[in-house]
Amino acid sequence: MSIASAKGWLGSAFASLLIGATLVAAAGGTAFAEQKKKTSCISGETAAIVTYKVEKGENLPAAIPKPLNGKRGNPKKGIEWMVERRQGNCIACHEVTKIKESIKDGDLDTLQKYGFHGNVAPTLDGVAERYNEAELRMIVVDAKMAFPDFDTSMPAYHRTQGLERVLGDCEGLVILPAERVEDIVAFLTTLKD
Amino acid sequence: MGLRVLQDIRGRGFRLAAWAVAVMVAGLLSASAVAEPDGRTEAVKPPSTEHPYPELWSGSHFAAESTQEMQDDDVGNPAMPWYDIGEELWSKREGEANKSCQDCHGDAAKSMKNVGATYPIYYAPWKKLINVENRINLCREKFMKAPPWKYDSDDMLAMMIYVKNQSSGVPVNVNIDGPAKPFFEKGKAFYEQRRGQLDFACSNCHTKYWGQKIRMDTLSQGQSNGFPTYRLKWQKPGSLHRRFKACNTLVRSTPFKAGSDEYVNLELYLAWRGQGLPVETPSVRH
Repeated sequence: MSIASAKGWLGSAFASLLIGATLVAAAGGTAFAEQKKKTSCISGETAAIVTYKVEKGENLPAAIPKPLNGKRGNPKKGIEWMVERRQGNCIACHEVTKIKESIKDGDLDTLQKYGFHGNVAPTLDGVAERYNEAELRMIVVDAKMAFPDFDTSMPAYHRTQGLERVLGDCEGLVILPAERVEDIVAFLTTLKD
Repeated sequence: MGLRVLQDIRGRGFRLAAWAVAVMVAGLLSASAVAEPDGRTEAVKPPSTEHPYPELWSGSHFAAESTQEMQDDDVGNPAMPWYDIGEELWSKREGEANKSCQDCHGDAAKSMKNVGATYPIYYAPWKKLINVENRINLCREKFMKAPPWKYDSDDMLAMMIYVKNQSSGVPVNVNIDGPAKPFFEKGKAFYEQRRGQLDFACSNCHTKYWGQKIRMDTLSQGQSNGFPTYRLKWQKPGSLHRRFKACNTLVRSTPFKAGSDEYVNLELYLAWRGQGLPVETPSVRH
């Protein structure tokens, strides 16, 4: 399914849905079946997609109210996934002042790990004031669904459909497994001001 | 030419007039220098207002000063050994036909003068585009009866650097009309197609966000005027198609083969995105 048709499909689905109604996105049994023979992607770990429900958000047309794996994550771990280049690598594009607090004075290792934030995307400072938890989860899972009217560059961290010519080892796998998405969401909800 | 005029006038004894001419000539020369920006310290104007960039910047504009100096130093440029080998290969007779490039093309400084600025071109016998690498191999196989070179082999890189360097300073000027048009359009579509697990198109970084930071790296416009480039990360020169493969893999997409139609079409589109930038081969990049 192409992105264009996915967008069209979602658009019409939203138009026909009443607020509070749900639709199930992603995931069939195939992702799990394929997981067995694929043991590595770029991240070196398997990460199969889970099923989640999308609802209409308060500030965005889409939101995922329930944690992907049924429980809320650990914000401290979330920071680690956000800085690791082969995980979220969020700070490649977003500046997050709170993450810079982990840089120890004069320490090159922590500077390289937690420093050098990019600026091609909006700062995440205060992002929890702009979006609620369900919306933040939606943005991390699939930003294109969260912002259908804006041609966002942000990758969908928990989607496997509608992608073109995915590298063999990564085919059918998500960038971040459910648990890590939840860790990141847990950290993002702390970013007030 | 200015000097000869000067001498003629001097010979006739018009010293004051000679100085006046000299001042005028100097003025014209400096004016023309201003009129031709290098894309590094001064932006090049795009060919039309519909161009994707309001101003054109070579990759060297975004490089560190030390890297720029390395590129500009004819002796210290780390790609020069390949240039030297290319120069030797130019006149080396090879293959069953026992011919060299020079036997047909003569002085590279003349015959190759604009090649680096005008390729890829539409090649009628193939009914598709041909780039310089594929053209070199066509010559080797058809006229020299010699085996083709592998795409990023040292021999191919050496010849590419030698040939494209003959266009050094010549503004990129590719033809995208006529029979080249459909291939140009395919290249454009490739550029704008999101791909890979990360779902990025070339344009997602290089059209929208050039000049901004990804971590500590400044995104360039992704211009091709310096290729083959000596990439410090590679510790050797590499082709434009090697860079394409690296970019595709970076977004976790299966790359195409170097020299493939997909990449040659993209090469034409990319050259047009830098239409007017001077050829810098061999450039040096991070």
